[in-house]
Amino acid sequence: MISNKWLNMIVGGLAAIVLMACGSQMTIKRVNYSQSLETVVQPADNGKVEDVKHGLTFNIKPIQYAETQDTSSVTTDKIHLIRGAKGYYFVTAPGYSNVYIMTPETGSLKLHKKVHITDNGIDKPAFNQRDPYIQLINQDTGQSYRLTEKGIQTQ
Amino acid sequence: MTTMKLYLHTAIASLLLFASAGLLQQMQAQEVQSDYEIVQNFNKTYNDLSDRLDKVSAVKEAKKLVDDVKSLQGNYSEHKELLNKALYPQTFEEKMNKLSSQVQSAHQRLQTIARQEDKLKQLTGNVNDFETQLEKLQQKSDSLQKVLANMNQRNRSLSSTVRNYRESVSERDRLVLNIIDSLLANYQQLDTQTLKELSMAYKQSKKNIDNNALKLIQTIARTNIEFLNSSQTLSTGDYLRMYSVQQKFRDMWNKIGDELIKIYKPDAGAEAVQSELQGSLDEWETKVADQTWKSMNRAFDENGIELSEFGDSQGLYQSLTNYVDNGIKEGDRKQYQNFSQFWNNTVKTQWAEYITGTNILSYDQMTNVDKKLNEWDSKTASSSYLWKILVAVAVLIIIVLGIMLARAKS
Repeated sequence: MISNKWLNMIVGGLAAIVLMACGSQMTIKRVNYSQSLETVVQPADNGKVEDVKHGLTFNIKPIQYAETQDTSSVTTDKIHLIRGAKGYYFVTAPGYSNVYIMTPETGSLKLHKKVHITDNGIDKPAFNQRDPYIQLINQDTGQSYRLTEKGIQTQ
Repeated sequence: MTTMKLYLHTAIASLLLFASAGLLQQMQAQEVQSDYEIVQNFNKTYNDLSDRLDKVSAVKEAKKLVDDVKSLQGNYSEHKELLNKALYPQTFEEKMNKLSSQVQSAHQRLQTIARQEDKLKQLTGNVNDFETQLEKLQQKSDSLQKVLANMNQRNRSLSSTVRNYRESVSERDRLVLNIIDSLLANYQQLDTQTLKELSMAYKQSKKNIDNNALKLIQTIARTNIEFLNSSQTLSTGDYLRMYSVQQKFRDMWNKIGDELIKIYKPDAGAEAVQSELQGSLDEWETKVADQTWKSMNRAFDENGIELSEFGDSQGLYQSLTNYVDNGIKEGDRKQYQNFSQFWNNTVKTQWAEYITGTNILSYDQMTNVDKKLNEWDSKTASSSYLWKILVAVAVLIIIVLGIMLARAKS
């Protein structure tokens, strides 16, 4: 016969194993990361972009290089960025021809997709949150684009 | 000709097409707006309105502000959901309601101030009139005082300048009494709310108002002290009247001083003004009382009534009763008649109004002196009758002896 003491130890051990197994695999589904309003921020001379409200800091120079092939100095005075419902960051700047969709990773932002908008670039771009997509607008012309992580969505 | 017309139509059609394309683009631009811009514009307008609210100082501006806040609320209510998110933890409604109630209360406050400004203007108008009259009388008595200073004693007693001088001092005292009445009527029964409103109105229109009741009171106290420092000798009646005016002035200050401070000096410096004024009133009282006692002592002395010297109300009453008690003991008819004449013709006739008004002597005390005086009269009158009877008997004896002598001779 197994004594009560041994029985308690076996049950407790099994429970711990089950809980540990659950913890390592726990995933919360249907998380909405959407940022209700775009952030418009001026990058520092060294390219540092700081969104104080949402607690995000990164350097714009890699994106600028992708856009202009120039990193000698920061060439824009405004960065527009917004986070979509799925957690991707949409980044652009006045005069840019592309929107850069970035995936947040541990200590980094990885380019998920570069979306070409127009050859001439948009002088006055703005992002609006229109969950489930991000709306990019050209404030000069009133033209708008639906963006998702897959690119431009046809309207 | 036909070709020309065709060109013209083509040109017009192109222009119209171009214009409508432009208009369409503009309309499209208006349709798609940046949420960020909407929030930025809202915040900017809201902050501008808040700044205007801080500086608003006229009813008209406040009314415009009320309208502008309503417009802001109307214009942005369609973006309420967006703004609720952007303004979190506040909501659009909360923020607008707060601003709206602030501008409404500023508007009401300024409307009230505007109403009280009229009242304040009226009060200031009175003060200005009094200031002018006071200044004129001050100048008159100053110039008369200079003339008197250059006269010798003999010329003074004959001069009409002395009469004019005394009259101008008396006129000034009457004006001060009028000022006291006017200030009491205007300020005595103001409720707390009205005091607050008048104070706000005064603050608002401070630039336009140089004079106020508080300053007038300070001026009166100061000029009276200056006058007493340099005045030529006046009669006891004049000093008693001035003492009485000072007492009424102090009573008035005790009644409305706090109200005047609340209206005209509600913030910093109120305590300093209060203590400065209190000091002036004390100094004025000390000086006028001192002159009054000296003058009364002198008046009794000049009329052959040797009272022991007094310097306050109690001392005066004590001296009077001692003098009359001694008179009763000594039974000097002449002394009685002299005192009685001065008491009845001067003290009770010319001074009584001020003496009782300022509580130098109470009615009871005066009645008591009168009673003692009657006793003195009876006592000296009886000794005087005995003497008269003796004289009459002596005369009768002489006559009888004369007749007897004449008969014996014949």
